Amino acid sequence: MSSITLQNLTKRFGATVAVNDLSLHIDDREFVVVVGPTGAGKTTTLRCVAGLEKPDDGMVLFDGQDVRSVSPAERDVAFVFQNYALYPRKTAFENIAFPLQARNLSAAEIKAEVERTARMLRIHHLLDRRPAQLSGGEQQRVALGRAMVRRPRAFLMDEPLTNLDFQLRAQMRSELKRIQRELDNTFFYVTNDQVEALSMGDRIAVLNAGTLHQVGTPQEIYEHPADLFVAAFIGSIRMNFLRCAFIADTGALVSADGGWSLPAPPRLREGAQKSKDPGQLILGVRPEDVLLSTEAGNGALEGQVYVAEPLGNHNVYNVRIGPALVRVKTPATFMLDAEARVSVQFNMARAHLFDSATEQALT
Amino acid sequence: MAEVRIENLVKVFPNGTRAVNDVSLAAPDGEFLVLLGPSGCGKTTTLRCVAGLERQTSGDIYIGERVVNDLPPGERDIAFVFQFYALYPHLSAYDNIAFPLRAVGVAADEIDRRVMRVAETLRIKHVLRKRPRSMSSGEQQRVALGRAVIRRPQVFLMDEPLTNLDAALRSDMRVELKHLQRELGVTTLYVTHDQTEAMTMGERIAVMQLGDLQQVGTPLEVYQYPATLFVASFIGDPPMNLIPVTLEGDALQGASGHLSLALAPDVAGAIRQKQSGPGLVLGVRAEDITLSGGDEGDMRGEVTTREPLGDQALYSVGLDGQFIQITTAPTTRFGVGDAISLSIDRSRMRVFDAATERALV
Repeated sequence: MSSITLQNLTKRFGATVAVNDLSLHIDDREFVVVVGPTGAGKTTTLRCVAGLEKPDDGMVLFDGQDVRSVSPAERDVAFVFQNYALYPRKTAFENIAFPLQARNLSAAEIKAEVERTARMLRIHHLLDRRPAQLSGGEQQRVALGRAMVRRPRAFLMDEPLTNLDFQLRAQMRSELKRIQRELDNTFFYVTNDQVEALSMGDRIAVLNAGTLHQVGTPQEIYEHPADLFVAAFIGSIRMNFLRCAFIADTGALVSADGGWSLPAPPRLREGAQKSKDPGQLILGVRPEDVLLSTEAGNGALEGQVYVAEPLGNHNVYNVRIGPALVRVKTPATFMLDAEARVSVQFNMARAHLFDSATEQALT
Repeated sequence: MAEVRIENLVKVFPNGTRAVNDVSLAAPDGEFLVLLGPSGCGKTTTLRCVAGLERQTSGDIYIGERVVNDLPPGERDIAFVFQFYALYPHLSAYDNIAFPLRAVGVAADEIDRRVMRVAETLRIKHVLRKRPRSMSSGEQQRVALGRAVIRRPQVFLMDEPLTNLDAALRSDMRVELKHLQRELGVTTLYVTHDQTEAMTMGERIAVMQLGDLQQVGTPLEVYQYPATLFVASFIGDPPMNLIPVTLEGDALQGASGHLSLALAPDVAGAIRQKQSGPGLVLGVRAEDITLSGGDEGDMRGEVTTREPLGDQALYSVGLDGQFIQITTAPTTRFGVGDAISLSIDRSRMRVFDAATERALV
């Protein structure tokens, strides 16, 4: 159990900067998820922590100690991948027990430790089976068990759920979170799946092209994204972005094509005034913060349904407002005809404003 | 444009694998029909039989009024789309879209007419002279879509065309493809393992497993009224909660007494009449369960995890060795370890026969 600190970590591969001046602190026993698209530098970061890559600049500290001169094996961290290489001829028990063989433990001690671990992973009824007789999720748990019995100072996980189908992935998400709490150990987890990040992380670090964009709790990241990248990347249905200008005289936001004008509440007005160019702003509205109605509303925008997407527990309507396409999340019971004309209202109290040039949040 | 009809389709591979097992299915003219299932369910084999890329072991395939069993792929008047390929960077949007027509020697004025029509539908007339590099990514996607559909066959057959795209692009393409299909009115058979794609794009969904057709219905039908345990577990995110129960008197009882669900006598009677044995499975969706701190309710349990998902919260509650998932508004704040009660919306639950795996009510 250790804290992990990355201090100005930089890693280059030839001319490519994979990780660019990354600083991030993970508390002892914290579950931190690094999330970002392919090429963000997530795996490279994790490999630097494990000692499998040597940073070009900056350093990695465990409990405040620089580990530059500590070999990967001596770092005493468990690395769990998406491809869990189990020994095919060994049973689940033998696979989990394997790291214990090298230690001076009696057979009874090994058995007790394996069984304790298997119970936590809920695979104690499968210990006699070989990998081929286990499902993907069960194999993943065996791999995790093998890492757990070593009692490492931290777990590093590189997209461990990627190869599972989505039903199993959802189940393993909540399982991993529970296991982390029961182990009471540090989890440093990387993924490209924002749902995994939101659902599992105590805190989330959003990484793109080697650069850290934001660190915060799931709620902070979702409700107060620091920039356009984070706003677009986090959220199951992507945030809507509408180009607009702030007109200081009237206190209104006017769309780039002139098709609509909306009064800006004080929070957005203050935000707009922070921009060097209030004529080039981006209004960000989450799909659940857009309200549709078939009746003309006061100050509502006019739109037309382009494509409806029923998802069972809710609907997503893609609505054309002038040249823009706006995604709207509604309850499953809210039904509209194809190509219906609708009035659209944004919940401006929850809207975001971004600067076009810097892409930074202004609100 | 034509109806596609599959009758008693069977495909057995030389190694003995029965990939498609007596499937009958029809897509009326103009319909967007999705074949959905996990890998190995037979959906791609079915599609390849329709395309003429595989010869079925038995059964008939109709395109319009024509039996096409013995026609080679080129004579079936279909277009098979595997994925939306990258655009040729040195060609304009116009030339990219026209490419498949030029390749088969269509006359220039006919090409022009068709390119303009597709460009209009896709709202890309203003970029036709541009090269991909100077278009936005949204425009590029729509050009790629235009190129895929510029041939006007009777039927589009699509095999997971969006699989290799990143999440944002995939959801944009879903919307554009659905809109385009409706505009063009070409019957489309679309294969995917992704239930979100199936729900959002399909007019109807055919759910397959291990070569068998499990259910065909609109997205809301398969979501609300899954016909089998498999469909219930495969459709929906999160999937339906499936809880082993038995019927005692007029109430469903869980294994250990933590679950007791009184039913209306006519519902209980219907179950009693149809059930093949004592084992039942209660199916209830995560959004049809309400949490409360009191001890009213149908089940009692303890919060195992709470996952904040931004626009909602997902709770996991331990019950008799399994976990029940419940979605709530993001503002609910039950903590891990809290004892809570769960109430089930009886108007929206399903009861399955554990032995036959089919829905009873």
